[in-house]
Amino acid sequence: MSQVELRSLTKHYGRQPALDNVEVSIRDGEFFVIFGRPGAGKSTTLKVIAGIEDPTDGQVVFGDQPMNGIPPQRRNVAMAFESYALYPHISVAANLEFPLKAPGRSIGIDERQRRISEVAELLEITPLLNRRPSQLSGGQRQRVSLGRALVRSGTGVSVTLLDEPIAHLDARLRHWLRGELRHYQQKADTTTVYASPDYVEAFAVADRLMVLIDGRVRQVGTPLEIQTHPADTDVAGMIGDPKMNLLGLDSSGELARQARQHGAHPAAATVGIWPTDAKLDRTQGGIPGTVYVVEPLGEDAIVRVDVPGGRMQIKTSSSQTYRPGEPINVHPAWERAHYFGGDGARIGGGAL
Amino acid sequence: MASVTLRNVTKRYGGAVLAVDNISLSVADGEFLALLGPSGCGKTSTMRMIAGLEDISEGEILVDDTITNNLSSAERNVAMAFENYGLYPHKTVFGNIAYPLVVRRRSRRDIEDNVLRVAAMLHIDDVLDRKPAELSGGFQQRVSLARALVREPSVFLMDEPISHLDADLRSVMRGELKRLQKDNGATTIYVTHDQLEAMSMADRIAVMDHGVLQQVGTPLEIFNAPANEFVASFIGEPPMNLFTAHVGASDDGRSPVLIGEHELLVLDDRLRAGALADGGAIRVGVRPKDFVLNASASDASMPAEVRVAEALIDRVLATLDSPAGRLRLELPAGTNLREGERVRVAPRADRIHLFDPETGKAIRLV
Amino acid sequence: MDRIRRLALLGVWGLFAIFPVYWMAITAFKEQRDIYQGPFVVPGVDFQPTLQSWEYIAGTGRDQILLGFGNSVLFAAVSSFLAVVIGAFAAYGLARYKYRFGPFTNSDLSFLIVSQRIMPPIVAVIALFAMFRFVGLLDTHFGMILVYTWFNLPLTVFILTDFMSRIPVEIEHAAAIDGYGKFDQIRKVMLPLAMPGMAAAYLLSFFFVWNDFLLALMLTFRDAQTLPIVITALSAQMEPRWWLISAIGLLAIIPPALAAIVLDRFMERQVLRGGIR
Repeated sequence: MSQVELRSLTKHYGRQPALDNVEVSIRDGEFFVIFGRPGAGKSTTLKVIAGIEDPTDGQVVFGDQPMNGIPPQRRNVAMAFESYALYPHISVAANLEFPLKAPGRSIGIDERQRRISEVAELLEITPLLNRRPSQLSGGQRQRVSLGRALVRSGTGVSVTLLDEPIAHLDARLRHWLRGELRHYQQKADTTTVYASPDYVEAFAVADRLMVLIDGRVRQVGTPLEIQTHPADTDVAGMIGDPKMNLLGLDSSGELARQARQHGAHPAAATVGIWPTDAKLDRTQGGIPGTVYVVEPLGEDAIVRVDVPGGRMQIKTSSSQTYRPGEPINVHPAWERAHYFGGDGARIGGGAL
Repeated sequence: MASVTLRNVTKRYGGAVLAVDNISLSVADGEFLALLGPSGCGKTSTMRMIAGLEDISEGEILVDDTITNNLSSAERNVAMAFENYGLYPHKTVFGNIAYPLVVRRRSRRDIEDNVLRVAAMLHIDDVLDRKPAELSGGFQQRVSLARALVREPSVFLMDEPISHLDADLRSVMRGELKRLQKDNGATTIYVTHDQLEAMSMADRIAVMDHGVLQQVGTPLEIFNAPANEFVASFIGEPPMNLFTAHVGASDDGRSPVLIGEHELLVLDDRLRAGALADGGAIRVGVRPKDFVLNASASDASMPAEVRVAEALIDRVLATLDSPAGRLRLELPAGTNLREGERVRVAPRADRIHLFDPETGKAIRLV
Repeated sequence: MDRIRRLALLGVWGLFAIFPVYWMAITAFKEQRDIYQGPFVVPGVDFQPTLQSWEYIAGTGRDQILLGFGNSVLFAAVSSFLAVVIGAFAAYGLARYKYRFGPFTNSDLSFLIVSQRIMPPIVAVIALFAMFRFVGLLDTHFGMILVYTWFNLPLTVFILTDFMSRIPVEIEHAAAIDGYGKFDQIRKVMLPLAMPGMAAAYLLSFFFVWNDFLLALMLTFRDAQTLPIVITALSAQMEPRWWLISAIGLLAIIPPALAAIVLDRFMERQVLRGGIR
């Protein structure tokens, strides 16, 4: 059984709580993502699961076995560190072989070689196998670190922990590898916990995610659930690329008037609008705004527009040109808008 | 305000290593130019030569019409925000930002006003009395930026000024810096390895690789008409799909570009008369957005199998295995793809890019 | 041009550095008369080389010199080894664990250890002499190894603590994750990575023992005499016999030079590069 349960897990560094009562159950064989900003407690959660850090309070349970007090080497977890943590004194191949040769793991030399070359092939590091870590670029080092975790999949690893494992790779590899990671994980059927601050990455690979803010779990769900029903403004403000626009509904403003007219909840204090869910035009109607700046991104462009209630980012086609300072009208797709109450909690909207 | 011109500028280190190879480039007064390229491409050396921090091995650098080769950094009136902060550790944040003005003997009142103005703009106004060591990397980088901004120089040089910030702040700062530059109109040269920053902020982009200038143009020119395979692969995210095809024999004046037996595109006769021999190899580039899914078998298209499908709120990203190799597609939200599903994909004929397999240079479909 | 100037400068510096050794080497082949009448620089031209010092070393002085030489090698090699091993344990603790004794923490503990070396050895030597006499360690090999180990420990602890705290703890964590217990983590990861620091600490400690005069002077008189004491004794009997001192001095360069050459390949400071981001 490689289900992982975190029971009211709390971790303090000095007086500062890094994790505050984290309670989640990660299913057997699941690809589970911890999504949060830098410093939210993602790495700490992984380290506590691995046994590198002891929780101040609460329990880590693998299957039905409590893990508290059991050192990392007896938990049988694989982990790719955010800082890579390669062994600098041995070759890349030896780094990959290191976990396969640990005491008590009777993996024959042929099997070790097979695994190393399979992982090296996947991560495109085969030509680097005889080098030392110091002779590699940052991206290459990160792939070795990832390889050292993956090389063990299917050897009875209870859980694979990946701490931002592709953050420092170039765009091509990042796009390709995250899909391959999923494939690899599904083939080996290992429970995987993956930490990432990147929205696209997190939501693209996850079976389920946990949104972590300041050490607290704010929402757990599938990518679709979280994107269509973000629990509150804090969660909503972290998702999307660009992020969801959150605008204050000042009771008398034009934005609030139009929102109510389009069926906003009377108690709504904030409206959330996806950057793709608003159109810009120069005719009458809509919310009056002013173009702040335009950022072309190839076929699309991000237009930042100041409207009553805040500054919006709107994704449009780059074929239209807008000048900074130009007055413009914003037409949100109200039927897809999200509404949040005065305390930030979601109160409705957001149909797909 | 000033323009900057580089004429045949070359930089060698230790006689042998060619860091910058014969670059000619001009930056207009008030323009925002991004120097874009991977690490080690020579972009930072180029900027350091403009700043006067590095000798010029060959060629000339002009600010307006003055040759600056032999002027010191101070005499050039350029300001630079460093990648590695370069803050004075013993001074407070205020002291650091104020320093360029103090050196220029500006009045106390004037200094205070200017420091507070840029500090507010960069959201560092509540740490003004701290020392750099007490701040996180992101804050330090913003202080470095503020110190450069406060001078109002004629040329403003920025070396990866926001690359150490976290993603959210980076996104905000992109907009802020761009708007700031539009407002104050300072000629700005911005070094970055991040194509997103270059695309979203610059008026024009100069793409460099291995010390050689690959292409100069507006973001859209570079995105829509990359001069060579390197530029094509470096710009855009997800990156452009690049694969090798061959030009089929023409029996009826048609000259199809083929992957195996699958026809992707019929080439124009004028182009055929030029570079391409029948049966020869050709490199094809298609951006992830420029594929049509489920084209009919009679169209120029090829079969593919869905390997990974990633559904986001506003788009679907997919990896497909095809006869052309592994392809990355960006499809509209709601596109329903199952892993293992067989589909037909066709590149949009008007958005296809072709490159010479030998030189990597773009072949224009005139 | 630049290159020539650089080479010339290096040449001058080289002469400056090597000349004393050269002078010692030729002095070992001089007669007392040539030494006093000098300066004679070129053998065979200025003076006639003689083997009298070497004959003395192989003959009359042999037993005494061999004893001193052997003792010096033994004390330096063994006590430095002990100081590095014990020092490595202490340094690992100081680098990896946080201690707290009332208001005192790791840095106070480090200071306490290093402070052993603040006072001049002469201060301790009298007390040591009294203690050694009381327990019967005067002029014993064990006693000398003990005193040198004690004396070098602060140095090795200091060097190794600094070195070990620079080894990222994540690398040890990685070894734990990879399935290795504490002992294997240290053996397979920590030790190889700390090697340059341990080699440096061993060398410095070796040099100290090799060159020590004071402790040996006070705590030995016959069986445990070291080479510096023997050299002095040879001279003190009459006027300084520079030819003999120089000859033994030449021999005395060999062991530390050998140690330095052997350990040099472990001293690669770059060993930690590439481990973490």
